[in-house]
Amino acid sequence: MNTDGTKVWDVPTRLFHWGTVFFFVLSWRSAESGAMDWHYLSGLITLALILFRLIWGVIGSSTARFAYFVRSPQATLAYLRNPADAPAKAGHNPLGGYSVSAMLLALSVQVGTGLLAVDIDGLESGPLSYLVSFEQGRAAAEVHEVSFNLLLALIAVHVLAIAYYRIRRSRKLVLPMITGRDPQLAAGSQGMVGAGPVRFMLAAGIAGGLAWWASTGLAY
Amino acid sequence: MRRSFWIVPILLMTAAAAIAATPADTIRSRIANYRALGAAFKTTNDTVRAGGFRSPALRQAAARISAAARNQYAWYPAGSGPQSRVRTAAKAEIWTRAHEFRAAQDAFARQATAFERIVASGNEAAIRAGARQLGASCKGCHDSFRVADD
Repeated sequence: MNTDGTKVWDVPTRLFHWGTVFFFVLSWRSAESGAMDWHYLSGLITLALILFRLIWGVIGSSTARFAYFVRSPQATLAYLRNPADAPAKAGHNPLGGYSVSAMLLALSVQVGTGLLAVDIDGLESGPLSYLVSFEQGRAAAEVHEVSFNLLLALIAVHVLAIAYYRIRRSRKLVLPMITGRDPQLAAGSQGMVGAGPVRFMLAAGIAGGLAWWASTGLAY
Repeated sequence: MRRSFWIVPILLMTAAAAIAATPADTIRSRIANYRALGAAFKTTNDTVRAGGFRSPALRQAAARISAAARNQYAWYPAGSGPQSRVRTAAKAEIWTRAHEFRAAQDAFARQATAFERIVASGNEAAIRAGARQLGASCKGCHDSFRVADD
C-alpha cells in the first residue's frame, strides 16, 4: 500500500465509499432486472452503510465528520473565488463538502423510501411498508423513483468534478480514496486524526443492528 | 322476497348513472376502486406476512378483492381511455385488444374467487401461494394494459 503522502481518509470511510458504489450499482441493476430479492438485500446493506456513515460523521475520524467538512457559505464563496492550488487541509474542499452532504441526504431518502415502498401489483414491498397505508406506500415508491434520478445526477456531478480537478487542475482525487493518503497536500498540512477501533465497533454495531432490525420489520 | 324487489330499481339507477357519467367521473371512480383494491391487497399481504392466516381482516380483504374482481368488468366503458384526455394509466390497448383484456380480467376474477376460498380453508401454505398468484394476476394485466410508472 502507498505510504507516500499525508493520511486523509481512514479505512472505514474508504470502505463506506466503495461499498456504496458497489451496492448502489447492485441495487440499480437488480431493480431494473426485477431481481427483487437481491434488491432488498442490497438496499438493506446500503441502509447499514448509510447509517454507519451518518454516525461516523459525528464520532468518526476528523475528515469524515460533518463538523469538519460542512463549511460556511462565506468559506465556500471564498474557496470559489480563490481555490488554492495546493490544499493545506486534508479532506473535502468546501464545495465538495456540500456535494457529499447532498449525496448522503439523497441516499438516505432513497433507502428510507425503499423501506416503505409498495409496488402497484402488491407483489413487492419494503419491510416497513406495513406501517403505512397503500397510498402512502405508493407515494414512497414515487419518491424512491425521483430520489434515484436525483442521485444519478449528483453522482454525475461528483464524477465530473473529479475529472475536472484531474484534467484542469492536475489534482488526483481518486487515488487518496483508495490508498487513504494524499501526496499532493501542501507540506506541513494538517492531516487526518483517526477515531480508533472502539468507536468503529460502536458505529458499525449500531448501524448493522438497526439495518437488521429494519429488515425484520422492527420486530420486538 | 323483499330484497329482490329492490334489484330492478337499483339496476336501473346503476344503468342511469353509468349513462350519465362523464369520462372524467368514470376514470375518477375507477382510480378510487383500484386504490381500494390496492389497499385490500396490501392488507392481505401485511396480514399474511404477520402470520394472521385466520384473522377476520384477511377474510374481509379477500372478500373485497373478489368483489372488485367481479365488478371490474364495468369499469372500462368505451370512451374512458386515453382519448378522453383525462389523466389515466389505462392504455388504449384495453379497447383495441378487448379479447386479451377480457382474458386478463377473467384470470384475475378466477384467481380472486379461488383466493377467497383458500382463505376460508385456513391452509397457511396455500394462502401464501394464493397471495403470490393473485399479485401475479395484477401484474399480468398491468404489464400489457397499464402505463408503467416505475
